[in-house]
Amino acid sequence: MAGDRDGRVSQFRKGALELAILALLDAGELYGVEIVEGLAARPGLEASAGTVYPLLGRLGKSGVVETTWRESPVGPPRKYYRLSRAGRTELAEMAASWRGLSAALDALLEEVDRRA
Amino acid sequence: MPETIATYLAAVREELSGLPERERAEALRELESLLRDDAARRGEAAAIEAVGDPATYAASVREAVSGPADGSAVPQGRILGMPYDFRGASAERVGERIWNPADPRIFTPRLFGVGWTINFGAVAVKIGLIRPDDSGDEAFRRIPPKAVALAMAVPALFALATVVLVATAWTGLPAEVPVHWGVSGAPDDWAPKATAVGFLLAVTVLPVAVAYARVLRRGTPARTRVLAAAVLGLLSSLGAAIAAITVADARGAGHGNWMVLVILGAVAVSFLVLYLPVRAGMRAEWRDSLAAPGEES
Repeated sequence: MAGDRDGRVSQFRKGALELAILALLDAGELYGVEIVEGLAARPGLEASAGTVYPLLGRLGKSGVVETTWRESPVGPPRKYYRLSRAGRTELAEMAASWRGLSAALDALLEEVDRRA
Repeated sequence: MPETIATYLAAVREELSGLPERERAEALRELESLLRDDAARRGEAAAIEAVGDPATYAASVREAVSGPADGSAVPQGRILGMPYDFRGASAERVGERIWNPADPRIFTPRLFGVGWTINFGAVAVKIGLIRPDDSGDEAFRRIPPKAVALAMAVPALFALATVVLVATAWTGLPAEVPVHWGVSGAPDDWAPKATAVGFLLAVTVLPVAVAYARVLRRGTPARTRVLAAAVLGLLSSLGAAIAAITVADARGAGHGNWMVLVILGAVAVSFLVLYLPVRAGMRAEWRDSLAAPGEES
């Protein structure tokens, strides 16, 4: 990922990834690997496990996601993540501010394109 | 809220302590010109009000300079220089370094090769013992008291073994004993035995005694105790092994390439002292969570 070479872009991506994870969890609970794979299935959102797991830890600590252990058909029990009530609110707020930001940036970048 | 620009700047300056002086001065210069500009237009109080709380402002300056204050990425070099120091918050930082399964790096790049920066959590993930998100804070909280006690017994036993070994072998030791071994395993440097043994005890037994005196105090969390046991397990098993080699050497045992094995063994001891209790904590967590699905959070 080109973005990861630059600290600032990487910070920017981290915020976007957080929103992406919350959006994935909106459909229902997932375990770690499913979240990593879910992101990988969407070009532009791919992130390494080393990026996703610390983020999951942080989301859990801030109470945005809740975790449950469930038996796994292979290996030890898996930790599943789901949105908490606070997580749903957070998702709605982040989505709104993302759309606002994205619309404003698009408009600004269109001006740039017109000048080019 | 500070009332004048001067007191506001002083408050921000205070909040920015620890930042390199050049960056701190620059940030303050910038802020001052901004505040004076704004104050000229609409008065000092309004200008200060607009910038907001000094602590929040300082936090955003820090973030702009060095990225957000996000735990694991921040190197804590000074603490790692003294891995047996477990006072206060340092246990948290040592923990982030030696048990952080979410971080796939086994060695943190900045301190590559320095003993204490092996991330055992990443090792456990890599060899398939756990998943990166298996052992959160909850697993540490659930470590059974018996497992904590067993983990803490390990360094104590190695330290005791070191003392017993040098005490019983003392009279049989020559005046000069080897203190350094070459790659082949043959000693290449010697020191008077009192110095050598004194040094050995100072770097192995003393840290165990000092750390335990602190860690054993009431209310020390299981996490801190187990982390202390893991770090001290490495030190004390290394010390016991060196004592054993010194004694064996004095008795004319052949030289083998022991050192690599000894170091690997000590790392393995340290790993097990950390991993096994965490594993027990995870099992306790599973038991409760699987028995009452959906209740856990």
